[in-house]
Amino acid sequence: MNDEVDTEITRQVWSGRVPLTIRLADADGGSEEEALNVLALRCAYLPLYMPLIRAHFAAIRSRSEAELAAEWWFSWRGIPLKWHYPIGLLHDLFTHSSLPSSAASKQDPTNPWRITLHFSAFPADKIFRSLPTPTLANDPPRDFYMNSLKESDFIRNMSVKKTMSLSKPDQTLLWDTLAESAGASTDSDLQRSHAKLVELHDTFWSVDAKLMMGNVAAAAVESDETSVGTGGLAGGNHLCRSVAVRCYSGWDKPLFQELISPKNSSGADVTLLEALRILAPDLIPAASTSNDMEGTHEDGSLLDTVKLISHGVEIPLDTPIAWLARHFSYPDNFLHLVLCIS
Amino acid sequence: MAKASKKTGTLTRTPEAKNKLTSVKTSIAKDSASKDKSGWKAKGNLTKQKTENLIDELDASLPRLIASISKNKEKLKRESGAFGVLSRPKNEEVMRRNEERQRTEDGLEDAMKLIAMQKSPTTEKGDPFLDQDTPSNRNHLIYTIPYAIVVVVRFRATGSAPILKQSIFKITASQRFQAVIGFLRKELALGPGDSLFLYINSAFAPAPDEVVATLFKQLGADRNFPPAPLSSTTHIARKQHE
Repeated sequence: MNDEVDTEITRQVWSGRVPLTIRLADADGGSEEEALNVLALRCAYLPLYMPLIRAHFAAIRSRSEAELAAEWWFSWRGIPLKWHYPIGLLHDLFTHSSLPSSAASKQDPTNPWRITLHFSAFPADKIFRSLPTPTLANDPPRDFYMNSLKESDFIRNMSVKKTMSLSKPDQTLLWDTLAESAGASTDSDLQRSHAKLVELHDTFWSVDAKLMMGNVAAAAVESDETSVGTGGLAGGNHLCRSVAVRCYSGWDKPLFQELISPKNSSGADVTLLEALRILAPDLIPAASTSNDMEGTHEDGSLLDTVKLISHGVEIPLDTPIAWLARHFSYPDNFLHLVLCIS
Repeated sequence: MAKASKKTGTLTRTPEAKNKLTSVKTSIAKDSASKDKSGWKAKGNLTKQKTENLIDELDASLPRLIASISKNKEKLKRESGAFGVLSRPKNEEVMRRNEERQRTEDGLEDAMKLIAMQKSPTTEKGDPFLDQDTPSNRNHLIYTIPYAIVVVVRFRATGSAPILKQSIFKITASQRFQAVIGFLRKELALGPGDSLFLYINSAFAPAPDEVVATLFKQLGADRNFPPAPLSSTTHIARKQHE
């Protein structure tokens, strides 16, 4: 069956890391020697590393942690980093998309990724602080994550039933596992770190599979019982309404997001290239837009210029989008792709 | 028909835009459909019917709307200085042109609601997430043109949220969700201490930097996908006093 998950791949995706070098901004009294090196999980979010980072700078600067607990934000070459993007996505965005001239300098490379931590002058006009949602735990990243989960669920199934029907422990487990993984990734014993990450990955997937994988079974049940609701899609061979995919063409450009059915009308898998044509029809040369064929041969020149990157990997354009969504989705169950046109 | 050709004239300047134009047309048609009380089942061919529906709807609320519109116009005039802060001359020009087109198409009611919505970009410091007008972005203006259409937003109060006098608004589709939040905060006259929670289709709260057009599309208002169960983008607002 092609709807099984290759755990080896999801484990690799889960434990993918980006080397970060974090230094404190000059305005906050930072200096070169104090920089903190972290191997950060691509799937994790910057706020998950804040306890570690805060402890590091508090120890060095002999400042109280409370003093450093104020609003914080990261920047790279002067560009504020969105904390609600996974670290891997941020890294892919800045490594592979064109940069503004102001940030095109050679300093602060992306490998290791040298980012700056700020404790003052929060750029409220560039990044937002928290979601306007009731914060039970008063934990904006967690709230944001839960809402992203629901949003991706909605895109896939047109309802958030799957997310909402998770038990409370299961719901909290998802974010907690991610947070724990972020902690485990900083373990200096790489072997122990890896083992722990694999374990956490399995824990995460034991719950996440209910969100990601229930589609096949649910679709079968629905067609059997002819229940009304999200099922009953044309042809009956759709696993879900759409894959949850976001395509970024640059750090400063609006992202592309369309509903993309995992199967086309004739029941064949939709490939990444076909998905790309739906996502960004204007970026694909006009000649190939109307071309519904596989396109790998005719569009040789196109394929040379278009690259799609996720988790730091260039993805072959003939990959079925459903397979990609199952294996390469971030923990928020969105497939985040960075589009790079040379 | 003259209107339609005018629209085509503006949008087909580049050949690539042609494809997009079709989607603009569908989107506008969809937009019309959203006004249809039966929900999303109706598709296309609705421009006339829509206008009629609108006029029917309007009859009841006309006097109040006119009053609010003149008030808003005054406000807009006062705030026109703040408008300039956005410093996005080209996009703004495009938007204004599109809005004007929309106005002629949809008549009085739309014009009024558009103006009502125009307050949103000027909330406090302006829309914080519209800072994306970089030179590189301007080259991609073609993508922003299709989104300079309008999405109908229906607010539904829940919990302790006050019920809005007018629950249906239009917002330029290229706006960030932040603009909706800012607009509603203003509309409800919320202070900095009041919290406002917004959900889409009672399902999820989007990030403030998500684009309204994208959220709209997620509801499945695409011909390849089944229609969304609820008409239009429905937001549920809740107000909590601190």
